[in-house]
Amino acid sequence: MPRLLLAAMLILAAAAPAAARPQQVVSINLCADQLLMRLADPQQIASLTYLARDKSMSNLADEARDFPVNRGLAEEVMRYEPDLVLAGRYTKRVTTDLLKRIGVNVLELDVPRTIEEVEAQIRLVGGALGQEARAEALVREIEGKRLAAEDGATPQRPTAVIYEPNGYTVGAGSLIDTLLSLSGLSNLAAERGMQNYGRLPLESLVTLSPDVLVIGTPRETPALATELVRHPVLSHMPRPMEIAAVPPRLWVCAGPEMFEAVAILRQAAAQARARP
Amino acid sequence: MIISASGIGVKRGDATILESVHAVSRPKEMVGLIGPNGAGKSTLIEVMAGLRKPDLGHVFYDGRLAASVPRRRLARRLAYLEQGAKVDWPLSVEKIVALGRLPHAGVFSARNRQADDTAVGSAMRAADVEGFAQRAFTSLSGGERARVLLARALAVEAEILLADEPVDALDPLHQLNVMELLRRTADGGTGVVVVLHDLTLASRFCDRLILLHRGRVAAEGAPDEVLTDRIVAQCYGVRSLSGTHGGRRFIVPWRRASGSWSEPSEEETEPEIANGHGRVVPFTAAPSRPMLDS
Amino acid sequence: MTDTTFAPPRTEMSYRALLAGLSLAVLAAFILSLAIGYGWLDFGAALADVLSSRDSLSALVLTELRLPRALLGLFVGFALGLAGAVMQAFLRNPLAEPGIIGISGAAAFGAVLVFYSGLAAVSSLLLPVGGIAAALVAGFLLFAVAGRNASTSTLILAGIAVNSLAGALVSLVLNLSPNPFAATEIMFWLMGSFADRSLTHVAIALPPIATGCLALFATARALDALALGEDTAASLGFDLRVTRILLISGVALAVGGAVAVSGAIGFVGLVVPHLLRPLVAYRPSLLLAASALGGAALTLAADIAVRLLPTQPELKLGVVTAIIGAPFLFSLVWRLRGEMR
Repeated sequence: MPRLLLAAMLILAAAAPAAARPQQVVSINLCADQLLMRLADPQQIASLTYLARDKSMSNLADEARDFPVNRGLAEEVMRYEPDLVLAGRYTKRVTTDLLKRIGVNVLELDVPRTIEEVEAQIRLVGGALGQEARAEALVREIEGKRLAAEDGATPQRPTAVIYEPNGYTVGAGSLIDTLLSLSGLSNLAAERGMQNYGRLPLESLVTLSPDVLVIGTPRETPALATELVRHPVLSHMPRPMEIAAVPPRLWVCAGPEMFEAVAILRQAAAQARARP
Repeated sequence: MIISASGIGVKRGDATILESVHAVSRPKEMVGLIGPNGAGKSTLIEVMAGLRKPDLGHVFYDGRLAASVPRRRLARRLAYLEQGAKVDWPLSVEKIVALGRLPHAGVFSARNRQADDTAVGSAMRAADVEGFAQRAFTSLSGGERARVLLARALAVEAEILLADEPVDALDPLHQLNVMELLRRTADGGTGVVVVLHDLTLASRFCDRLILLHRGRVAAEGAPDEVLTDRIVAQCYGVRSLSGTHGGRRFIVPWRRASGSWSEPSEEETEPEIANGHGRVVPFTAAPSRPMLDS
Repeated sequence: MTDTTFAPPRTEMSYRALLAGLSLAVLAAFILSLAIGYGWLDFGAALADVLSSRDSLSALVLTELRLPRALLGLFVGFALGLAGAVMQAFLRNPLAEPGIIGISGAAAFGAVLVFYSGLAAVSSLLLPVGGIAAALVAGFLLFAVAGRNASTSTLILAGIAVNSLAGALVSLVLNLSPNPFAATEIMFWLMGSFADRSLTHVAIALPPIATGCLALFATARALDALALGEDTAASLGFDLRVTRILLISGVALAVGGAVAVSGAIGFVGLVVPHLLRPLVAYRPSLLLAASALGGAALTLAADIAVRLLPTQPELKLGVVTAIIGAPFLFSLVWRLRGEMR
């Protein structure tokens, strides 16, 4: 469904070329990659990050195969002689600073913490790309999905804890926290006063004993970081937790796919409620 | 126990260290192993101790081939005193001497604690180290260290004691102490083989001498037969003053036999050495500095 | 060691008292390690739950999280302390230690190779096998390069070479693996940690650690004899080839098994024998048991410290042991500087 929509958008864009649009746009941030593919004409895109092709991280991995990729090094970026570079506010600082110093037009994207901020960012990037109409369409799509999600709200909110690789959890003031409450779950880490990201020792997780444990989908490649969810203690809990596996690509970057994550969480919440 | 080494040949790379050497050690006998530096004395004593396999020839312990004697059993019957041995940790003297009892220990603990204590005690008494039994080895003087290591070897209560230069770097008094101790040990029934550089000590204390020169036995027999002026001059390249006292020869290396090292100069004026006429001032009448007249 | 200290008379009694004291310290650290953690755990109640086999959350935290952590601290520390004491006595060098001469680093590389190639997923038993195999190779390599009578500087240089190579290979394997967390996981393998380990890890590490420790204890007598030099030790009936094989395989098993589940924890094998040596009157054989217990106590204490320090995320264990151990290393180098040439 999103891919159909995108195809339709791409055709539309090709039909109406605009004048003052940047023609050589380079992205050095995974989230900017996806925004760029959603909003810009293909010929506007000079290069994306190599992560954009990673199916586990990127929602538009197949589409990204059409574009050259970079590793976010200033030298690579310069080769494309970009008229606009999209970068993250907190990543690749050295590259960003260097590009700005030599006068390249860099747009730094914040990490949005609410759906409103997501929408504002879409409009910001749309404006910079000269693709205001597509930005509005994307905002409307997200808005529609948000309203649909809010409809199904119930008063009984099972508790949940996000458990990311290396035992990191997500507290209040983050988009993921917003999505949790949108799914009818109550984020225990936020209730405990945790802000943004923080580490949750396995021991604290067991003591918190939430109704739902939200984890990323286990990867095939071995990593200590993902071994934690296989720790035997989790399967020996007296009241087993409902495990909701959310593919990280759904909410690593803000986009329409985050509502797929909401659907997964909503189902886990329903199962948790149904239990005695 | 009788150690008999026969036809021993040892090579190190292309160099021949020992070549068809025969050597025997018997109970109650003190054998001196002498010879210039690099003659192969240490190598021979290592071969006799079973620490080094010869390239040629065989070592027999009481007629049994060395390879067929288990190392542990051999360790109880044969004690070896390493040249210039040092101890790596500041162990106490008593503990070091007690290490000599290791071959007698069982798998997990001492087999006979009382026998061990007695052996350690008498070894320390014999070597006169009881006075500092609790001191750390590293705090001892060179002479004290040598006695402690000798006591360690005595504590084995072996039938044969092989000592590699035990009087190395000791002052005359300590040299005599150690040599007398070895002599008493041999008199007590132990076979002793001792590597020596001091020819007078070798002559005075040993029953038999084996003189090694360039990896071969140059002479063997009673000290008087081995330490002749000719042999000493040939093997060591020195002319010596020598004489006899109490039936034992003393040999004092006096000058080089030839001017091969660097051109001799001052010797020209010295009188020719006429050996056998040395006179030893009797101890009782000795002035503060004993003298030899030529 | 060239101090001119006077070793005070030590009797069997005082040695027993030392071992008893160290055992008490280990016991206390073990219990503290169970009692201290992140949760709000009523230790007494949890213990009661465990004893009456009630399935409570606190019982679960105690048995599935804190117990494996404390057990690993005990066994890994025991192995490291023992390995350090044995290696120092055998090489007759107070700087010999599995971490400094690169055995731990090599073991980490072996475990990393098995883990990130996915072999460990086939059977978790392969994880220690990888660590042990690499530690064996490093052990033989070190003996080949540095020899038996290695001078301090040769030993340290060989250790630097093995360590740098192992560290580089760990990074290489991790960076080649399609794993977005590689950068943080390098830290685990090179600095070590017991955080969130499970009883499975204890189960796979214990057999090699126990076997290795037995092999190392079997060298005790020979180590005493070695204080008098190699030839004298041989003349006392010890076959040094046997001792060397026991040493290398024992260290490889004990350290390889430990590193495979906890990463490379440095300096324990350096600090503990150094501190305890005067207390056993410098006798190598007596130092083994004392050093093993001391290693366990130090490792458990360091693991308690990382949990009490308010860092996010928790410090790697090797950070704490290095902070304690590096000054020791420095003081030893200072004392040995004459010999280093």
